[in-house]
Amino acid sequence: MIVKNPGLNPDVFIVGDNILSPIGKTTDENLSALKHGISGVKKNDEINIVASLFEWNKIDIDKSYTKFENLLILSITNAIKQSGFNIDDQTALIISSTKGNISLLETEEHTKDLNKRIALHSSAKLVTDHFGFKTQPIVVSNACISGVLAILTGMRWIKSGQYENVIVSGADVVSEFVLSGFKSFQALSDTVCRPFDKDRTGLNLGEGAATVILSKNKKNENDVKVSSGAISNDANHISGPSRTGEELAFAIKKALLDAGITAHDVGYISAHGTATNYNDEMEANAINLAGLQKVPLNSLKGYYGHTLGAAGLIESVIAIHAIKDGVILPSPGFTENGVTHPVNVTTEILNTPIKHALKTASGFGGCNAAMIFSK
Amino acid sequence: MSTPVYIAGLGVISAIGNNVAEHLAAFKNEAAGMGPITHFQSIHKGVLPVAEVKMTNQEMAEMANMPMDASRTAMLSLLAAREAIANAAIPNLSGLRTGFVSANTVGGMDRSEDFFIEFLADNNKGKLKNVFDHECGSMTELVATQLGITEFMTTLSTACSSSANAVFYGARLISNGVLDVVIAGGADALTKFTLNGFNTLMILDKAFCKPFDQNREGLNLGEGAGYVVLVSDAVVASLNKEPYCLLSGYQNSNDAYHQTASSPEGTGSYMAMQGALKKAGLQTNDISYINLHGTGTPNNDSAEGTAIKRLFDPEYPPMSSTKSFTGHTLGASGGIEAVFSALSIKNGLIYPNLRFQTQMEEVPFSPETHYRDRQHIEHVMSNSFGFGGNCTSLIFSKI
Amino acid sequence: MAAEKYITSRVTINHQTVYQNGMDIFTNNAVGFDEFLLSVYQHLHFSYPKFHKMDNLSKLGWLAAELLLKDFDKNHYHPEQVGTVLMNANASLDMDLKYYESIKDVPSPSLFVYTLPNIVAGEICIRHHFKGENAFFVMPDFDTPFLKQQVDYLLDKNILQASICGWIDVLGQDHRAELFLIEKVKKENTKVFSIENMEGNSNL
Repeated sequence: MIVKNPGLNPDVFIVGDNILSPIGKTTDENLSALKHGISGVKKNDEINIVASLFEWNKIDIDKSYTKFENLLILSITNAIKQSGFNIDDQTALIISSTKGNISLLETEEHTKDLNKRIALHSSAKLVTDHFGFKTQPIVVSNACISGVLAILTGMRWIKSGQYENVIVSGADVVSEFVLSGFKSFQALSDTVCRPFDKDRTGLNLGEGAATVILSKNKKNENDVKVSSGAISNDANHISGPSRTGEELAFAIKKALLDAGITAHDVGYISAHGTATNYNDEMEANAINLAGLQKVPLNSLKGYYGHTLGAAGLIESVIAIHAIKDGVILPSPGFTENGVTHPVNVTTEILNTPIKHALKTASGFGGCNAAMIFSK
Repeated sequence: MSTPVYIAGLGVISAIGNNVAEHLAAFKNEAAGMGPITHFQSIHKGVLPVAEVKMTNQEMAEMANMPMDASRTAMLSLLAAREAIANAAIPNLSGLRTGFVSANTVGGMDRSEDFFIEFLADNNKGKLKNVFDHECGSMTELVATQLGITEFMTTLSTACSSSANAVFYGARLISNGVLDVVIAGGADALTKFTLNGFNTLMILDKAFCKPFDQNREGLNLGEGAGYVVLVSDAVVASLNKEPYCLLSGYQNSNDAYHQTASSPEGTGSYMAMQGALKKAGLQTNDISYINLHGTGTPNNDSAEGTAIKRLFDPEYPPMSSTKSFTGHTLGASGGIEAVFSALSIKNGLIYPNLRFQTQMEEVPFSPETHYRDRQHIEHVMSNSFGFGGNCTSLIFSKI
Repeated sequence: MAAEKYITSRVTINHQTVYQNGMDIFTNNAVGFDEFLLSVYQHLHFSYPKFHKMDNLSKLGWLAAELLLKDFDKNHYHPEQVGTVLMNANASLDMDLKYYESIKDVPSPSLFVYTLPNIVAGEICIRHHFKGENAFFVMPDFDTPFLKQQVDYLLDKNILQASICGWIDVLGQDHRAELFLIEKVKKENTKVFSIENMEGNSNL
């Protein structure tokens, strides 16, 4: 592929976004709910878990697509509508998900055709065709860092001149498949999760979708940039994180370096903070190693649960708006520090100008991601 | 490569007998081995019943031809292992690749705790020699040396499933062609350490235990040793008498629930039993008798019963806990109960579950309450579920 | 400024045959795919107990990477300078199906952990201590231009200095692994990193 305009290194702006979650169908609805302390995480007696789940009968489902595909389509539709964006042949699509349509195993007879239907690339094609993209879609499926990695991939495409605009959208649905799996890990909390807290007992699952529209052209004056991103691997264990956090710290430091900033310049950290013993301990270590322990930090998992392939996107959208509005939300469930090297967890709404925000994520397979958004 | 594994010899010592014959008599007479603590000083003397081997250390040392100050665990181990080897009577044993796979949990603790009492009072006192063989592996080495086994030895220690794991580990060595003969099993002596420890867990019964009874109150600690001599089919061909049975199935699974309690659903137990059946190529209705882990604690028996219900429902084979005779011999229990399982097949025996009166509410079955012989026993399942969630199920089959 | 990049090693595994740098080094069609994987492991005298716990996707990827990296000079690089870019069409569906079966009885965490496609990258990174960037993509066919574009970017921007990249896919008996080792060092018998050279079956 020829790199167009090889001399330029364009900025990449977020010109549109959407969050589609149990607490709101648009980014604005979500922000408003969050500011009022509303959380999607609730006790669900039917399946006996505490999670953030959609009331599916309240969503306008198109029966010709699966629930998962509906989430993507609805999210992208709203992002486009809200930003007045037009898809042209210079616009690409990246989808992020961990398990996509896996719940079809639960409802359909298993045949060779089902294997094809379940494939993430099939969903991507359906979404592409629905919107009339002229380009081939890409699917990122890299555990819980998928969302951030998808934004990074889109950012790199624009910076290298591959495309001018990239729509990045991600979603995951809570299925019996995923639920039973996390249960077998004994990773679920039976209350609303408490990231970084001394009494944290595990994570909540959540479902949701989010979209960001990346472009080399600013649309509004206050559009936020994706400045940089970096990925690393712990090379330690496939389901437990690094013992030291130095690999996530490496990704954070690389992201800072590529963004041309130092720890001092970061005004807000949107942490992965799943509220498992191991993740929060490792992540706090990493943040300390990167010199960011004083930066106001929250984890949004107490509002959304862990939305897996959508997490990186939902939480990035919140970070983007935190920069735009100069508002950091409190981290729910936090009362007392529970990690060896403390981090600065916010416990009430903070109104403060933010120039740069850091998003971190880690996932099974030992992967870590760090991304910087900037004013 | 996976060749069948046979059991050619048995050796056992426990509260109900010093050898196989004495055990068979005790079962027939339905005579349990519990009684007061006699062979060490304890604050629980007269309060907690235990199931001691009816020999002092001196008597054992003379019988075993070991030094007087040897660990009781080692002496028990040697007595039972020696009986098993003699019982197997393998011609030209010295020409075969032979291994000793032995399990225990307390090791030489009986000597160390004596040392510790003196040492605690005065750091200059106490015979350091007493801690020399503290570790589990020492027991195996001492006994292997006495038995003249040099080719292979190893020690397993997984709490109450220890010697069951030793038995199937030994079987794997044979079925994979590493060894021809394996003396496998385990031993554990009663110590102050274990007695006091279990007491703090509040799972000891102040009366004689009642496994699988609705009103059970806990376990009685026991001591002993049990070994089987495992052989390959090539060795079987050279034997002068029929082997006892085959070891046809085994599975080890972990409950992943709690260090000292079983999950309410008995998941680890369920997976162990299910896996053993699968390995043996059997269905639940092929099992003629289950030798339960059946310690008599509210938690174990409930979990084990629930697991059996889940797996065997609606047809349940006869079952019983021989811990109602021998007490819970901890690291030795799997090996001792393997011996009982082999005898059950060979002699058509069903052992009674002593002192049972009331069925547990959560299960639709009751254990056997009378000794029966001349039964048609094809396949016996023996369960050993240990602390740390370590669950093992063995299946023995008629040849 | 685009760096000079080379394919310094290449492994293909499909139809139960293993090719190293274009040469057929092992084939076993007498058994099913599960046994085939074990027979490759044994034939090549590998020793890595964790192999036996892996799902088939991870086993296939691990074996291919083990061969791919046989002459790789790890000491030439910092751990963060080596990473992976992998893709397939079926994600982890092979294991998903097996895990789904286990839900009916006792859901197994040791199966669940392999129900993500990027775990194969994790296993390779653990084995070789690679701490650099790794990414997993799902697409209907092996898109060599896309792979080249991703790897070019990583090596040109010095995000990585070496990349293990390619296609690893398993579903039931069907399988295909095409792994390439891309470095900036020219060695004897290496080919320039190009789409043409990736797609050809040429010996290196």
